[in-house]
Amino acid sequence: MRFIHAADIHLDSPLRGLGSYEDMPVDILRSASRAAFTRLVEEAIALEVDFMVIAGDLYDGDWKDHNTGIYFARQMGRLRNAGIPVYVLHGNHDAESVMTKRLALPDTVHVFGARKPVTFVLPQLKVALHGQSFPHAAVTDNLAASYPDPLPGHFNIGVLHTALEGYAEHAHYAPCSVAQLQARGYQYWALGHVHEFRIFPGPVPVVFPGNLQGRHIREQGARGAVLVSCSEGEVQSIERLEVDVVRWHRLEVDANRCESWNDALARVRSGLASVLSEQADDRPRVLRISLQGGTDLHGELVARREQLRADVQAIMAALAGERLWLEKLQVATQHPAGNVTSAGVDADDLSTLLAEAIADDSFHDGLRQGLQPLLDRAPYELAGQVPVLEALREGRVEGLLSDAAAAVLGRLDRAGKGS
Amino acid sequence: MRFEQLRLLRYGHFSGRCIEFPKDDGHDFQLVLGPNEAGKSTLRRAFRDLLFGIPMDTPMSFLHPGSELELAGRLSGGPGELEFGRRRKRNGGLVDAAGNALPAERLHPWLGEVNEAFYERMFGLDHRRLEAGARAMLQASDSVDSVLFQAAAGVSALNEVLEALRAEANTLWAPRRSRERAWYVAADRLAEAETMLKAATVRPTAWAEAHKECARLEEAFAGAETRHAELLAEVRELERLRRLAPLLAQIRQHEALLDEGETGGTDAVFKEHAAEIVRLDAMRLRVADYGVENERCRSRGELLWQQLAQVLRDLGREAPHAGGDLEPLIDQVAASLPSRPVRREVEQLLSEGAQLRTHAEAAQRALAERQQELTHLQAEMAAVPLMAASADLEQAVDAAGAAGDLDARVSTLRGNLDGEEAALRRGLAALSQAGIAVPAGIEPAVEWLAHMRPWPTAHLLEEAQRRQRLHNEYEILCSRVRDAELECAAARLEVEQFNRTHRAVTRDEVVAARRERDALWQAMATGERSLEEARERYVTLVRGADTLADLQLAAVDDAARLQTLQHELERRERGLQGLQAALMAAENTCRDQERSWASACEQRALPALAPAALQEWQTARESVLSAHERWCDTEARLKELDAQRTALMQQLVSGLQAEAGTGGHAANTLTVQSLRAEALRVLQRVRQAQARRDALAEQGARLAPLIPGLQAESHRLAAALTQWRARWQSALERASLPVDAHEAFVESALGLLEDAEGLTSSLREVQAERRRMQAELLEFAAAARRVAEALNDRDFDDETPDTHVRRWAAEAELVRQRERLREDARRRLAELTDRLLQEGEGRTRQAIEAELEGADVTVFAARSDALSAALEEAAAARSALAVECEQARKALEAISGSDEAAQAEARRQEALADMAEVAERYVRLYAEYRLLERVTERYRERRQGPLLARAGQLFADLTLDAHAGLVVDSEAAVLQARRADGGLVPLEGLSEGTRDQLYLALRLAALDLYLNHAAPMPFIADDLFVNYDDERAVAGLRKLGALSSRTQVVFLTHHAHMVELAERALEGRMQLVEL
Repeated sequence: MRFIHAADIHLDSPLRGLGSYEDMPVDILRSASRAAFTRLVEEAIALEVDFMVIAGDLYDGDWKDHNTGIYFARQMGRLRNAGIPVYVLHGNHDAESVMTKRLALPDTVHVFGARKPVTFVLPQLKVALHGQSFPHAAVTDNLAASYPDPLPGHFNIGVLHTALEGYAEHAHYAPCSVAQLQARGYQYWALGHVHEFRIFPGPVPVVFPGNLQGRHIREQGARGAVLVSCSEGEVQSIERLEVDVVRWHRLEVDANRCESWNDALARVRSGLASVLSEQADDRPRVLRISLQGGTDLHGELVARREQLRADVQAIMAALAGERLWLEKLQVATQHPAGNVTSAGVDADDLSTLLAEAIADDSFHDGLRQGLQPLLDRAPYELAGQVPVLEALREGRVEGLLSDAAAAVLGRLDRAGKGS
Repeated sequence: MRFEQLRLLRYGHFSGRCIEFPKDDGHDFQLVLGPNEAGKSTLRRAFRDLLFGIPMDTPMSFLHPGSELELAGRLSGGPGELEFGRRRKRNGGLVDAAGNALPAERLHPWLGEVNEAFYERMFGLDHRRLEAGARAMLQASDSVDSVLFQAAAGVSALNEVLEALRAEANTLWAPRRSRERAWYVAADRLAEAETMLKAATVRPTAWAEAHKECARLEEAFAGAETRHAELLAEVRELERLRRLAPLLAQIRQHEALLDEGETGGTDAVFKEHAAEIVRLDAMRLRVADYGVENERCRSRGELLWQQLAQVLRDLGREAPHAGGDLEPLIDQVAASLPSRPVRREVEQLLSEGAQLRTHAEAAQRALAERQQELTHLQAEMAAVPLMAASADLEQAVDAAGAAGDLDARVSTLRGNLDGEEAALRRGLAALSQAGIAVPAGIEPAVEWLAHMRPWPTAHLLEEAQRRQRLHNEYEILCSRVRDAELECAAARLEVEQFNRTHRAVTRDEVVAARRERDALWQAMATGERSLEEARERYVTLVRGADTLADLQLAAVDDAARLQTLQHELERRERGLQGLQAALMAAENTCRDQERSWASACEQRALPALAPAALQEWQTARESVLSAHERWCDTEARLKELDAQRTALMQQLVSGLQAEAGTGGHAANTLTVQSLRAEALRVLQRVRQAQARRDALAEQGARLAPLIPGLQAESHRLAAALTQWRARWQSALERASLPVDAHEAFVESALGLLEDAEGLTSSLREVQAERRRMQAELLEFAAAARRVAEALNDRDFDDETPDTHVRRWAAEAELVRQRERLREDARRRLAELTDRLLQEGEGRTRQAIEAELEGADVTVFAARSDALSAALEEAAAARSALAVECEQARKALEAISGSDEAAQAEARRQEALADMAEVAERYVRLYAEYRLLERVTERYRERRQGPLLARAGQLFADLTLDAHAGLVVDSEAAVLQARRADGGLVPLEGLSEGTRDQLYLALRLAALDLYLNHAAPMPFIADDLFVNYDDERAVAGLRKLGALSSRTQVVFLTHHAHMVELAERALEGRMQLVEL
């Protein structure tokens, strides 16, 4: 007996943080979550699995387009035609979603009720699925505590949307402990809510399959569902089904003691080459590249971010064509001597004056006032994407000014050499 | 801190170069003079690299590999002296004098907090930066903040950077909306995506409503379709009845018509004789015009007869009188005319005679022409001379042709010979070198060379290597002697310098001082000198002796050091002596080797050259011998060709003379080619004359046999013409024509006879036609009578049969028409019956009649109109519902899982990401811009007063008091120069040179202020005054001289006259270092 355990589909949820590029493969990138789900369905049909379990968060809670539900229903129709029933549990996002209540699904799609735990039994397979959907978004009760006892002679699967004992990235819903689940007497726990793939060690597999498609830089690496194979009432194997169509990566480039621009680019190229060498498929990769380390080039790197970005994009295009895309280029280097602005040289020297400005609260106020019109017009959503804006709103400008001072010195140095 | 020494061990093109920077009392001005390419720029870079490290990408690794670059030096300053080195390493490569790595912090006591950038800005200035700074100052002239800051801080591109920041930021964001700004471009895309998202998003309630509406409309459409179908059936039924009613009525009418039957017997009689009447009517139409036709034939007969009579008269005959019947007359005329065979014979003889005459004339003419032509040919042949070609001349021409262009070959060979001789002489000249006397003349020189026995190349190479080894050993010894001399000089200098700076007091000096003191004491004690007189002197001597004793004690270490140095000097001098002896021995060995080599060469008759040179010389000798061989060969070949050419020319000349005396040219002015051409022309003339005679003879031979034949033909034609005349007269007689008639007359008479025969034929045809018409008229009348009897027509009379025939034909036509109508009625009835049954849709006639029996046909129209209106209404309702239904269906189908909304949301996120990128870039650029603004303001606030005061003073000195100082216009906040007369000049009003001086004044003022509170550092000035006149350069040098009293100044220049100017400006208080 084999089944697929998926969770956190978040259908039609967009990729965030990736700007527009001229030759971007928009067909793939703009419909990534759908493409991933379609691949999952195709895998299920190809593998001829006995059933599929979706442990919550089919939709984004605030997503209103009914087309998404119809698309889901159509995919469920494909599974119905292939004779594969689906057991769906509503998570916190689904509880928020208006689609959940309106959508008519094929008769082979079974939704766990929200008022109390429900058990679906598959007599031919001797399988019992126990689960309870979220009645509303913020469920802070331990739902697992009221799950029924295992059905004797059956392979008991607990389906649960939970943050377990807590994850910083996720709301602490339906809390419970792994030990509690292990002790419940089931043979498999199909969890959802946490977007990272994880199998908790113990006698009974407690599994987060992770979300189906990474959507931003915090959801890096391979994404998908798991294929669970069972025999004689026990789990035999758990394999990952990587159905994501785009992957996110963070590439940290060590620019320590880089002495020239070309040297820095060579290190980026080397990092990209290693990413490519680890890549066994043709999926597009979205990268956040961060240059780190102490280098004399620090000033030039921060002053010429745009040039650096263009050069890095050129390298990416040359190395991998449409396979690599740049989400963000971070210059997180430092000057090897520490802070380039220091008050020790001379009270009238540029670096001393810069250091004074960085430490001057009134200058901070002036800077904030100068940028206030931009802050006023920036959409609220930008704050999360631009840490500098967030820092400005919160009055933290030292980091910004420190980078700016290094850039100023870099620009003056470069312009001086040029003249 | 100052540089005491800089050693460029392996750096740029320097290897092991050491430069000392000794300090003069009170001033520390180091003038480094080096011509272009001497390494002045390298030196300047070396100062910085020594202090702050050699960069990994240094351009100084063009001679020595980067990994071997090394600098060393000695610094002095507050904490004392430090000797250290630098290597090109990522960690800075700081090492001590022994090459051990030192931590970077080791230099901190000398450098303090000064970093490389600050040092470059504050303590480095060259001509390029001076000009760039002055230019930047001008660009920023509207802001005193910028001018002061960038001049004082050594930042030349401040304004440029500020402008670039402002411009770049402006392309990203500004409060005012613009499509040129990236923020608003992204914002527009965000708004567009949001609009798309709104349009594409379908809320679940909307889907439910669309679904419900679709179902409602589908139901309504089904009802409308039913109603429409019912009405349509009713209309069709009514229409069927409406179509059947008139059909049935028509059937009944036709049936009644046919029932009426046949009408009477007249039609039957006429039907029986219909064919006869038709034929009779056709005959009537044919004979109707016969009266007129008969009259026309008669007139035509008369006209033809008149024409015939005229022809007969033209033939000279009498025509019979035309009275009554023409036919006998016609026969009579026809019998009088000659028969057709006779007429044809006359015609043929007429043609034959003409031909015979023509042929006879042509034969006579041809005979005369041929005879004349033959006579002409014989005359022409007699005029052509009889000539024959000379066999000798032809043979000579062939031989000249086979030999080719002998003249050119001789000429080329002669040129080659000259060239080879010149090359041979050049080769011999090249062999002449200092000490080598080559015999004069080619043959003696070659003989001299041939007697030599050259060395094998291997032997020469071996000898050269041996010599090179000796030379290398000698060079190495020279180098070692030079190094040892330098080391000795350095050791000597070190001893001298030590003596100068650490004067060691010897024991003898102490003893001597004490002795002098004791002697004076003795003199005082003995009264030789009075106490008053010698007291001060005695005190001085006591102090001096004590001081010397103290110094001797204190300088024990120095003495020891001095002794060490002297020992080192002695050791080095001995080493030098040993090396010098070895060098002398090597020189002797080289000299012996030279002598031995010269002797060996002499034995082989070779010049005593160095092996390498001798190898080249031997190669040149071989070349000369080869050239000589080639020269000899060429000379032999030339002689051979010349002889051949002379023989050929003699042969041609004698041939020409024999032919026509044309070879009488001077042999020395002719060439083989020109003689051959002349011989060819002579031979061609002879051949042409012979060919002409042959052609004329051939033509004469062809003409002569033709003449007897032409004479025979002429006689034959004359006989034939005689025979023809006899036959001609006989034929004319038979044709009843005069036998002596002229051929033209006969030809004309034959034509008239043809016309007469034609006219008689035509007259006979006209008469026959008249007879045929009369017969047909009689037959028509008889046939009409027969039909009248058959029809029993009592109105018929024989006078006007055509009238009755026309009447009968009209009546017969009416009978035929009545029969056709009845036939049509029968066919129409059958058709109507079929249609009735078809329209009845399977019903029988009786059933249809029964239906129509009960229906009120009069209301059919009104009922039909009402039903049509209802049907139209139902159709319209159905169509409207179909459209609505389709729309609703489409609206529902549109909500079919499309990802348009998801795509729009993705676009929205992309636009947001773009805005995020723009926002971050803008914030960073804005922060940079504000920082730069802030530091320039702050600098002015703090330093404007003292800086302007000091810079004004320096500016006045540098401009030789052409300007008195600097002021700031407080209102406009701009910097101005005050002229000596008190006038103010803005920066734009200053000349380029003066602006350079102002920038230098500001830089030096800033340095002055800095040195007020900070430890000194060496100031490196690189050719600052290249564009200054001497007086201003002296003024500038004085200012640098003044600066050198506060810190070390290293002034680099490649202008030798700058040394003289510096001497003048600094009154000799400077150190000169020449690269």
